[in-house]
Amino acid sequence: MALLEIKDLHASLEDDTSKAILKGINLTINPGEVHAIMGPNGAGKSTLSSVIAGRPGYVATSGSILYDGADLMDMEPDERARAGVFLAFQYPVEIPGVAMATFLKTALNARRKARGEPDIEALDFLKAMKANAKRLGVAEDMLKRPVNVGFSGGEKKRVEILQMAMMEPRMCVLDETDSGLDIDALKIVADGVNALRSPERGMLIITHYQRLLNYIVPDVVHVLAGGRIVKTGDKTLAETLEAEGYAAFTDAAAA
Amino acid sequence: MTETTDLIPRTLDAAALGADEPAWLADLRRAGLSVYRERGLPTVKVEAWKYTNLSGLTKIPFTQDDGALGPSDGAGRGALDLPDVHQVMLVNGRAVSLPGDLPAGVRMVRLSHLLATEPETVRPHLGQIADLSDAPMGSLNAALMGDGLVILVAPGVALDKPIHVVSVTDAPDGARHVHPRHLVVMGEGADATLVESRVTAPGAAESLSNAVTEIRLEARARLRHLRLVNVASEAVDLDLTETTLDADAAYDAFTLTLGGRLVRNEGRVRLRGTGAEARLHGAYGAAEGHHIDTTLVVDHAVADAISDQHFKGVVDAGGRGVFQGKVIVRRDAQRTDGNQLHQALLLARGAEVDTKPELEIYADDVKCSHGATIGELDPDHVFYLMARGIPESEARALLVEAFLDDVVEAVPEGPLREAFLGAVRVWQARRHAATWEA
Repeated sequence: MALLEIKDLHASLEDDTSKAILKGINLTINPGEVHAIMGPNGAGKSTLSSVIAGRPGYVATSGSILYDGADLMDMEPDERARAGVFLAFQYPVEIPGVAMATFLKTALNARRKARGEPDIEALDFLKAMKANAKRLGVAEDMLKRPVNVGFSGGEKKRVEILQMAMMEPRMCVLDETDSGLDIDALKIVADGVNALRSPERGMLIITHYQRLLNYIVPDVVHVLAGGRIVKTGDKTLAETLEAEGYAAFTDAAAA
Repeated sequence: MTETTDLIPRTLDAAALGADEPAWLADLRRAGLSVYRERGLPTVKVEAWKYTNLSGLTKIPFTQDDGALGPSDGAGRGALDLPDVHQVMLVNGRAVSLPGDLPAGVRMVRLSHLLATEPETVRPHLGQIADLSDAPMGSLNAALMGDGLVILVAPGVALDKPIHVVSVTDAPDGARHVHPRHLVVMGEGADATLVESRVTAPGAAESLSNAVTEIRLEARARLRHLRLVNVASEAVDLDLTETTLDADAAYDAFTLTLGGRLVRNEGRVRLRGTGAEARLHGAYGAAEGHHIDTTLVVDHAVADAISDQHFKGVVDAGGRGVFQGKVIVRRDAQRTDGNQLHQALLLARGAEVDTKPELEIYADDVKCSHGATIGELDPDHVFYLMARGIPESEARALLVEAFLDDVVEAVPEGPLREAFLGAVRVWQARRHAATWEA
């Protein structure tokens, strides 16, 4: 069975349903596959990730998203997350007063509780957190600070991947994870993501630039323009885009 | 016209008040009676009571507590659970158990006992610290004052562990009003932590507790005064605490109020010695049917003193929070540092908050600030937590706790802070349970 199956998805902002942002997306991701979605600004990339994660303010006006055979639209954002869908945010929010470690532990335990498992042992949690932090170059003292508060853009992105590693999701959606990263941070983040690639796990990598895909090599590349997937190919498509730009596709979408 | 109740019967004879008590105490009672008779129950036309309406009290068939109740089954439920403290339980102001192992130089005694055995110990303080002439409810307390707790800490004595006063209001057989009167005197350089839990006995009828506490901190004395007000939804709980600070004394107060039909925590602080410092911090949670009023007056009478007021309120639909904070800087109070901040978080439509900051400054070299904010939970924060699998109710509870985080830091870290945080969590769980039922 496909891990994620998007069929003829139309979506818009809740406040303006007359204006479709996504105009019939079809996309199937099987376990073990890494898909990349590339597209110019305004193509609907972030709307797609928002609709998958269930961000308030976005509505699917028609079509469907099945995750592991279940209708994602029937699930609240927290249910989706507990079922194994993870969104790495383009703009992770700062939450003063909530310690990073408390947040991570609460999130992990929410998932365990839903599965009927006991809370994670404090020591196991600490070990896992420290190991992941080390691998992603996240200083331990950052985990004692409030969620994302005072983190640089790059630190926030690294911590998103750290969260992803801790949650062990089955479907990872990375929304412009490369934005705001310098080349060294990009490599660290890519290594972190690559370490999570597995035959059971699917990934959807949303990006504007091809750069990230040099390090996380996708199985399939889609071009999103004007709310539709206008071309699908292998990793060489990303290189073509880098060389030739999006103009050909935006013109095609507008036509 | 509907039948109304008077808290003081019209027929009460001033001459008969305090007849078998020392003359000075009878005078105190009569002065209180006179003020209360003149002003009556404060209405919303009185500026200090603009946002807190007591008129509902006249519809409750109250009788005055007779000071004879013992602890009922479950009395003390809802109080903080604190290990390793000197604990005392009061029922309607009267101590029903007193700790036996107090360190030398520390006394905890019933007010009634001191008045009967050594009135001269009480006389220099009782009614001398608090000026109640402009406080109608405080005057009512003076007129009708019942029993209370007296805590005396000798100069230079530092308590080995906190004192925990569990103050229970009970009305087992019909509505009661009660007027507890407490006194705390800390000698020069004394140091103590006083924790209070104000609760209602399970199954109690409607009640009005109208307490006055007088606190005197002599030079270099330090008092950490931590309070949990966790009274029943039928309870009206008024408290007026007046504290005077001599030179270099420090008063660190934290008040957490969770519920109550009508709660008013009125704090008056007089900084009358240079170098004195008062920090009045607190938080409150008002759910449906709850009204929580924090009214503070800090009076900088001398130069070089510091005060800081910081309160945070969390208000749900049908709940109301009131914050009135006043800073007075007298002409001689140069180089005063006085700050005030009230921040409210509205959890739903139909939540109400009224804020009134007041600065009265007569000196010219001062540093004073005040601020007030009102906001809601940020939907982006809620979504971020939910996107990690945390259910919405839990996400919101976590964010409320985060909102209160910096004021709760006023409570010393360790078992004390954990106990206060625990009370916040119980309140949140109760609130969510109510939401689910609805």
